[in-house]
This record gives sequence, structure tokens and C-alpha cells, in this order.
Amino acid sequence: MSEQATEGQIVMPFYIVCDVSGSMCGDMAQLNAGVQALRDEIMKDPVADDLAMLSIIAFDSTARTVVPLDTPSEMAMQPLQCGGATNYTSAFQEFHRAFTADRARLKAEGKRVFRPCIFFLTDGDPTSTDHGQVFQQLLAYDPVTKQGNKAYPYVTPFGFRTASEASMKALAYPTFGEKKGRYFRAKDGTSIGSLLKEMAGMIATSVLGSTMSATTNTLQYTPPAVNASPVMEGSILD
Amino acid sequence: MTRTEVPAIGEPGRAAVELGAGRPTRFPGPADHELSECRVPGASVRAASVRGLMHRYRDQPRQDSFSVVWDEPTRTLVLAVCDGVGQFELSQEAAAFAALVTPRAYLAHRDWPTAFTEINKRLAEFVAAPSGDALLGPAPADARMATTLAAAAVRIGPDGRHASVAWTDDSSVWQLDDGRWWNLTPDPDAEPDSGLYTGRVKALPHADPRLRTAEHPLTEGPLFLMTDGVGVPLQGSAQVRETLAGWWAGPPDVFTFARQVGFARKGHMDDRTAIGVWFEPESS
Repeated sequence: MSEQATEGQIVMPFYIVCDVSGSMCGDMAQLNAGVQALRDEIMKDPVADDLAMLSIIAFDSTARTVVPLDTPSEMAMQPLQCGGATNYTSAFQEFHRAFTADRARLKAEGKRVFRPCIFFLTDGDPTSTDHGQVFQQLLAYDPVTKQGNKAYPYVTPFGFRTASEASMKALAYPTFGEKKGRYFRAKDGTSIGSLLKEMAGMIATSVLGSTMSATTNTLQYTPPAVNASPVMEGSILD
Repeated sequence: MTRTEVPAIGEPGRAAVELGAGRPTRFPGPADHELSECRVPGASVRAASVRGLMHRYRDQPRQDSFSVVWDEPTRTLVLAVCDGVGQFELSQEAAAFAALVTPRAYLAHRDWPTAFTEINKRLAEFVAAPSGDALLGPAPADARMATTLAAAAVRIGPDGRHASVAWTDDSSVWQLDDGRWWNLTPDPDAEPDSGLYTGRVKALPHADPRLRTAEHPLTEGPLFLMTDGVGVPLQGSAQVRETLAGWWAGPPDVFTFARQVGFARKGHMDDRTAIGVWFEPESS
């Protein structure tokens, strides 16, 4: 299909950022199954498949785009591999690099790109120490001074195992406006496999809900409801 | 041809191909599609409003509306297209009301700013006290409604043709001249400085409506009023511009026009409304 055939297309970009550090090595089968199920669920819906684009970014000591941003039914899925530390900084840097390139490519193809959304899945607190500073430098925006990244993302983190509530709260974005960030932390006593399946379902529901908002040429990010899951505790930033 | 029996321009997208008819909506008011054709001295008119894929998918009604009026004494066509704001459940009522009152307001004042002030005021009163007649049950307590509006007064006289246009937000007016599209209602705020698309509007009724007006002498090419369901893909795609320019070089029959207005293109699922005015050659 030529670029001309989709020029002007409206695109809502979603990035699934997955922690694949060493502590996740025992969960990779469930994580890969969850990501596949998430993609399949979205792909089943022709409206979501027309409007949403998904990308998978993996991070441990470093970060890389495992599946580039694409229409769900056309994604070239790759299995995630584990190993290494929990470097949030590299994840932010890779998202920033990937979205900057994706946006330039999509705009060059004549597509109209909505604000990106990040679903950030992690099982631990960061081993990096400068991730907060890097987030502010690369991704954050100040609506008062109008300084920073005007194309800032919505960030919805999901934490489990040793990922603390404080870390998840610090990741949620934006911290201003009508759509303040929200974050989710696993309740105790739930198996990792069940949690990963649950998170995949919550993300799929969020993507489907966001694309369903397109009653006009406007799309609205529809984050997971804070009470969407019996095994995840959801909170909205104050 | 897609399953919905409308022509595709480029990649139709899965929604246009796979989605069939859904259940009827809970609003017995607007039909899925609305068509009009007429002929006045010096011009032929086609108008069509087509329920978008997303509204069909969500069992929601078409929220676009239009009106076409001819004022014989002044040889003026008064045209309006309205796009109900989709995030509000009852916006089809605001769009229908605005389309209904716009011709009278213009013909009473012959001045778009004054007419829009009246339309905005009447719409605010209407929104404050919706009749609820269009609902099967009681109106939700938080039900709201709003609409965009683009209108034109097209004078077709012995001394030539002239359009006075007025618009809020992203409904637009275009002229097709020798295969090229000219936007008579440019929006300098359409692309925010974030480089991201928002599609946000400041719709009517509003305490400080974003009204713009312009005067345009017209060439022989046809004139089109359209909601953003047509205007956005037209603005954003050379393929859409070329295809519609070919289809609408002359007036199609009204049923063909409606199918063309409802063309399939991936990612474009909004309601679609267009009014086309094709002028007859001026006698020398």
C-alpha cells in the first residue's frame, strides 16, 4: 500500500515499555504471552486496528525497540529476552528516540499523530539514579512556563513484585491538567502470571477505549480505571 | 467496493470493510443519512450527510446536520453545515438546531457576525432547556451538546457570484477551480506547536465563540461546505483531493453524491457532510 493511500490517516501511538531485567527471567513466557494476547485483543477490533499503532520497548541495563510502531495486525512480533539491571533511564531515552523518529516518519507520510501513551511495566525499583532528571529533560512539560517537551506522553506505570508505590507514583504523567497521570501497583498474593495477564487485559481495554473515543476527529486517551482489576491497586495523582 | 457499498479512496481500512449495519440508536431523531438536491437560477445543489463508521459502531446517531435555503428576492443561497461535538451525547440536537436557525438569522440581518451572535444566543437557550423529545427515556442529568458551524451566503446575480462565508472551528468551505481545491476558511490554529494533532474545537454555544468571516468573489468552479469528516481527509491527502476533484467536477446525481461523501479511507470514521453548489455558465 502506497503512502498516498493512507496520507492524512489519524494515528494514536501506544508504547508498551517492558522491564526484562534479570528478576523477570522466570516470567518471560507469561510476559511474552501477555504481550501477544494484548496485541491479539486489539487486533480483533477493526476500529482499534485502524486507529491505534503499537510498539514494544524492552529495557534492562539498556533499552531497545523490539517491535517498531505499527498497526497491530501488521506488527512483526518478536519474543522478549531477559537479563540485566532495571535501568529506567535507558527506557526513557529509548522511548524519546523512538517516538521522535516515529513522529517524523508518520508526519512525512502525511499522517496526523495524537499524543503518545506509554504503558510502563516493571517488577522492581530502578537501579538507575538519574531517571527522574532524564525524564524531566527529555519528556516533561511545564504548562506554566511553557518550557519542555510539548509532545509529552501520557505515562501509566504498572508495578509488581518489588516495584514500590513511590516509584510508580513518580513515573505517572502528566502531573497537571485534566488528565493527570495514574499508576497501578499489584496487590499482595497474586501470582506473576496472573498479574501479567491482568495487566495485558487492562492495557488492551485502555487502547480499545481510547480508539472508541474517536466519534469525531478527536481522540482521547482513556486510561485504565483505577478499580479496573481486583489484583491491581490504582491511584490518580493528586 | 467495500461492504458498506461506498467507494474507497486509497486504503479503506478494516472498519469500513468489516463493519456491517448495527442496532438502531436510542435516538429516533436523525436518520442514518440525509440527502437533498435542488436547482436555483444559475446553480445546482447537492447535499448529503452520512453517518460515520464510529457512530454506527457505537450505536450512536449521526451528529452532523445541514440546511439549504434559497432567497428569491436577493438571489441568495444560504447554506449551513454543522458538526455536533462527539464527546457530548446530545450534540446531534445542537447541530440540527443550529442548521435550522442559521438561514433565518442570516436573512434577518444580512451580516454574519450579527447572525452568529443570534444563533449562539438561541443555541445557548436551547441547550439550557433541551426538550428531551428525541430521547426514548429521560435526558441524563449531565447530558450536554455543542456544535461547530460553517455557513455561506452565495449571491448569484447578473453581476456575478459572490460568497460571504462564516465559520467556527473546523467545518470549512472550499472552491474547486480547474481541478484545484482552494480553502476559503483557513484555520491558522489547526496545527498546535507541539506538532501533535488534537482535533479540539471551541464549539457553539460559547461565551466567546471563535467566529471568522470572509468575502470571496467566485469563479465558475463549484463551491463546497463540509464538516471535518470530509474536510480533514481533503486537507490532509492529495489522493483525496484528486479523487474528489474528479468526482465533483460536475454535479453527480444525489445518490451517487451521498455514496461519494461517505467514501472509505483508513482511520477516517467521522460523520461526513458536504453541500456542493455547481454554477451554470454566466450568460454573456
